[in-house]
Amino acid sequence: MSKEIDGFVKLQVKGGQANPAPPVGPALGAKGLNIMEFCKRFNAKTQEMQGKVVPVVITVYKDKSFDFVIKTPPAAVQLLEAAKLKKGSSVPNRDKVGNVTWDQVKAIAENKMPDLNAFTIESAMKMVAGTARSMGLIVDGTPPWEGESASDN
Amino acid sequence: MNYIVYRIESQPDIAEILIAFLGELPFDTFEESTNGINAYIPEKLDSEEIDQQLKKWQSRFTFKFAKAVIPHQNWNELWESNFESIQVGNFCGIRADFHPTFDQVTHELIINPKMAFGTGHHATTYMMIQLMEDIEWKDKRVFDYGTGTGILAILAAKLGAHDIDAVDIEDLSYENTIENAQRNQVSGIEVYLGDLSVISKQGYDIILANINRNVILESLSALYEKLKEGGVILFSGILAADQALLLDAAEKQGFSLQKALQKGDWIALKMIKPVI
Repeated sequence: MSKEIDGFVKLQVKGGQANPAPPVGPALGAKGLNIMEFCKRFNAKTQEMQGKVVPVVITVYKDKSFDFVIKTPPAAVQLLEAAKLKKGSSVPNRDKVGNVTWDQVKAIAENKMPDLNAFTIESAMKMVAGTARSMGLIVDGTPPWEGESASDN
Repeated sequence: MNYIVYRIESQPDIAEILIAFLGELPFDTFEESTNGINAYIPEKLDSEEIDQQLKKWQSRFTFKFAKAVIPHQNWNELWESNFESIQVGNFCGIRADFHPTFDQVTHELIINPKMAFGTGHHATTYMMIQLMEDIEWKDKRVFDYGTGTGILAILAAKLGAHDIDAVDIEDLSYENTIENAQRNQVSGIEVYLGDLSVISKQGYDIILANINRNVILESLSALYEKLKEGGVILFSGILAADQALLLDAAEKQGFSLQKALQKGDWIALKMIKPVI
């Protein structure tokens, strides 16, 4: 028999840095869960993503136990990461416009496909590219589908 | 420690972008709110520059923000007020001060955690206590790395160790270890606040390292230096998936495996520094 669910807690926490302070503390503490147990497990599971913002959905059960699922980082977080890689700098200049490539946009679109409301990789890439532009990032080059349509003609 | 919440009102697409940018600042956690996001930062890391940065971003993105202080409190109080006591065989029992005493355990510990880690409920601490049962403690010098509630240092004191150094990077753990040591009426524990660099001493007979994979990997060579030849080191806080990685690094450092335990997803290792 599956356990009865009391509710869900959705947060975005930096990998390896969950601690019992707000909002983790009040959200889990108010339900009588052992916050320290969550922090230990979350930090161990995200040690490869140290310092990177990762979404987590915590399922709280009526018996005061819990489970959680770690999702892939938001497209904007991944885009910023990609722009930093391209610049080869670990310290981002927060005011300077950065660049990403269509290959990077494609990789992020593939990664986020399950969460995006997109049926094709092309439409997912357009959404990610739109986010990139809103952030002030320039997507270098020509979108792959424009190249393809040119060669098709 | 007090926290500051930045309450940001924005459209969801802007909220996602702001999370990415705010993630580059010392904010550690975000949650969706009804009309945007809340971003959380320890008060000691908040500054005027962060406000200035947000104001700059307001020229590029449409959003409003307001901040508020969330005073420190024990958010884990509800769990701590009614958690069950726990026994590691007949060797050790851990309880809060509101529980009755144990009938049949050799060593009884009273731990009121106050948001510090280490009550024995988690596999990592439980296995450390299991491994501690087979070690000779009388008059040994001990280093407890990442002490949390002080649970393992206090048990070491009860087992006869006479000179115990315990360190933790968290203020709450530092204070909690001192309180719990007093509560258990043990002496000989010196508590330090900070990372490994605040411990200058060497020549420990036993080192307890119940932390996490990354911190242990970074500290292997310093821990090797601090341990006497023939000394014992216990590692915990490691996922089973990382056992091979950690074991390989520890053996390259010169430690030799004596025993490995697994409980659920977690493993703990007992290793020694061979006498050369």
